[in-house]
Amino acid sequence: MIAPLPVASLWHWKWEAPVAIAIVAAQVAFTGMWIHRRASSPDARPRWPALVAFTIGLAVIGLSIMSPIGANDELLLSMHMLEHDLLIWIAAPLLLVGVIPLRERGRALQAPERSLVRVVTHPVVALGISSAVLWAWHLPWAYDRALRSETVHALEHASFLGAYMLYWWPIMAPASLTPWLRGNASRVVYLLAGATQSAILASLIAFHADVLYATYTVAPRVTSLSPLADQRLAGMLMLFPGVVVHIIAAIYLLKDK
Amino acid sequence: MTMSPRALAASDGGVVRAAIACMLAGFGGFLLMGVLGLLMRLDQGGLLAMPPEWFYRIMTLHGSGMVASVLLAALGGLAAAVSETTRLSARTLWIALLIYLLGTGFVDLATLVGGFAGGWTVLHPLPFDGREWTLAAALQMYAGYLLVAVGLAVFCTHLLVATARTYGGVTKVLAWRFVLTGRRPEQPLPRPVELIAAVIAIDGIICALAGAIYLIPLFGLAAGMVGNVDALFAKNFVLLFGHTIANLSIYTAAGLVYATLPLYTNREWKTTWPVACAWNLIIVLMLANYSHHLYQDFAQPLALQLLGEIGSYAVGLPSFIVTIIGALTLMYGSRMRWTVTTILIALGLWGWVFGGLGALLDATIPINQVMHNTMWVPAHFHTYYLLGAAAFCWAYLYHVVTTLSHAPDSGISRAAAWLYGVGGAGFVLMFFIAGANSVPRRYAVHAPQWQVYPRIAVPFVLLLTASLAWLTWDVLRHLGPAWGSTREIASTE
Repeated sequence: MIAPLPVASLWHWKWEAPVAIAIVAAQVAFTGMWIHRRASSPDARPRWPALVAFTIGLAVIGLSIMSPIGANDELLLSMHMLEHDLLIWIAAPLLLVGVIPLRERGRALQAPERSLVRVVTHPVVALGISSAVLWAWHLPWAYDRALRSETVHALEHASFLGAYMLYWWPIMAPASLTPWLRGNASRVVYLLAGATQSAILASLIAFHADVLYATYTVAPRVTSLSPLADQRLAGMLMLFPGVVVHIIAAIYLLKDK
Repeated sequence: MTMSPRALAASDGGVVRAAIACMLAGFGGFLLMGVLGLLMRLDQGGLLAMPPEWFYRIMTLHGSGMVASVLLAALGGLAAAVSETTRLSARTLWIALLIYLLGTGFVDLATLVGGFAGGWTVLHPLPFDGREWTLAAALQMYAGYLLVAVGLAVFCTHLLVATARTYGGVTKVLAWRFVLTGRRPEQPLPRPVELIAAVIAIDGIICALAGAIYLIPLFGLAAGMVGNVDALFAKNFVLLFGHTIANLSIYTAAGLVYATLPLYTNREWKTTWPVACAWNLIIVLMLANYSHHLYQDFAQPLALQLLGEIGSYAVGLPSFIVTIIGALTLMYGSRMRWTVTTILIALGLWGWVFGGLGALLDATIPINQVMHNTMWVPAHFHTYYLLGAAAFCWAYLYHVVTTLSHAPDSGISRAAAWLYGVGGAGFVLMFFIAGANSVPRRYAVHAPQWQVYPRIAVPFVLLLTASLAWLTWDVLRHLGPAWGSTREIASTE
């Protein structure tokens, strides 16, 4: 058995230059567009909360990847899961809070482009893609592959973020951008379906009798948790925040109608 | 007979849709849990070989799921009935429904995937020491309960605030001045259904709080923040929570009878002094009778044991005298036609009486010492659940859907409703006879001499299945027009 490392090793940060550059670039580009839209459409100017939400969303991405949460993602599945939680449940909807007002005031899409967006953002397609991405990356083969390769790992995170921006789009976008999910019943069904599929995956991970991801069985132990206990904790960390976020989303997105 | 949509037309279409969603979710859960119940009876009859660990998982899910489903359906029905006079928020109802369903989903996963099999009343410290499941599964189960409690609290708080706002305060919607003085106030009294909604809301909030008081220390214990949780405290609170939830579903469903029967008998069900008094008494009595489940716990204080017995007897009086006699009086000589709704209400009254009598016997301490661990207990609660509360709920669901869709019920539908009674009666009778013959409850494997009872019960369950299959089809085919009709309600406002 490998002796636990000092607890202090849990608290180190990991500087990732490509991530930092991407975040700064996204912030600059978004702020530029936000300023331009404010200047060009005085009647329907994007508001400050859009910029603030987008900025916080980017900060959450940076925090999830470079803070001790992301820095330990190859040592502890629970930290890795927390990192994914931040990306899909916090960062993705916050980025959309920023992007949607700009998209509303942006140029109208051309016919083929519009059809494609309409298909991809259909709730069934959006839910299907986001669920497929979430489940596919949690297959032991794919997960271990991501842990072994920085590039695949970055692709995993980017695909989670993209897939979950797609997931949140149909329910967060206004009627001018998407015709779907206009009633409370369809919104509740959508939120339930989204929360349920991730809860099933979380339960399968939490209650699996063996360690699912081989990398964690050989990773240096930085806590007293065994790999199996770490996996159970990871499952619970996937389960509970997802539910809380869906309840908060319901509070914001359901209407008296 | 098609009823006039007069009453529902006064409601908010959005609220009616949320209420229908609650009733349908409850009905769906009831059907799924019923299938699990059939599997258990097949196993006990030796007709299906189920591993014991799966039997206990299914038993845990069946119990918790059935209570949650019937309560949800009943609350949905109550919201629809109350919305005729009281402004409710569709958004709040949908949020409560989402939280509630997420909670039931947690329970499903904790049992089916996590292997939790400790029984739905999860008596501490058993769940933390399960040999067949992990602590994570117990925590997921508890989290599911907590979410259900939160959903219930949201629903009930909204109901209480809304009814109190309509009538100018909680004491007014509970008609306290009328109860205390016997004089009718100048301003109109609430209808029985609004008074009942306030009663249910108060007990629902207390019940949810009891759940939180019970569950939060257990989360603290799992997190290492709490050193120990007293087992007797835990047992009292889990039953104050769980038993009250079960009672709540029955009384909420009974409230639906007050909303429905006057429409079919063309007689008003007035808020008379006995009605107001009885339902106010139920606020206290519903909370006081859980203790009859702890008669066999020698450490339980004698006062609580006596409270359990007295409370169990006393709660029967308002139910029997006011609701059942009141309903029968309303029906007698009214030339009421037998429709699916009225048939199910009549069956519900029958089931409530017989289930209640079974409960009274079980609540009698000397009888309880002999009978409590036998099939007598599932006998009484299946009777007033399946043939009582659930029948009232499906009566109201059927009433709402057929009223909104302007669909008359057919002869086959009425036959299916009667079949529900025949199937249900045969099914529960086998529990009663088994209990009277001391067949133990909660046994996965039954001795050969006990297997005759579930074997006789199974054909009755199949009759019940046939009845429910038809009624489900009947509801579903009218659902589209009914749902569309709620939009007309909203547009006419």
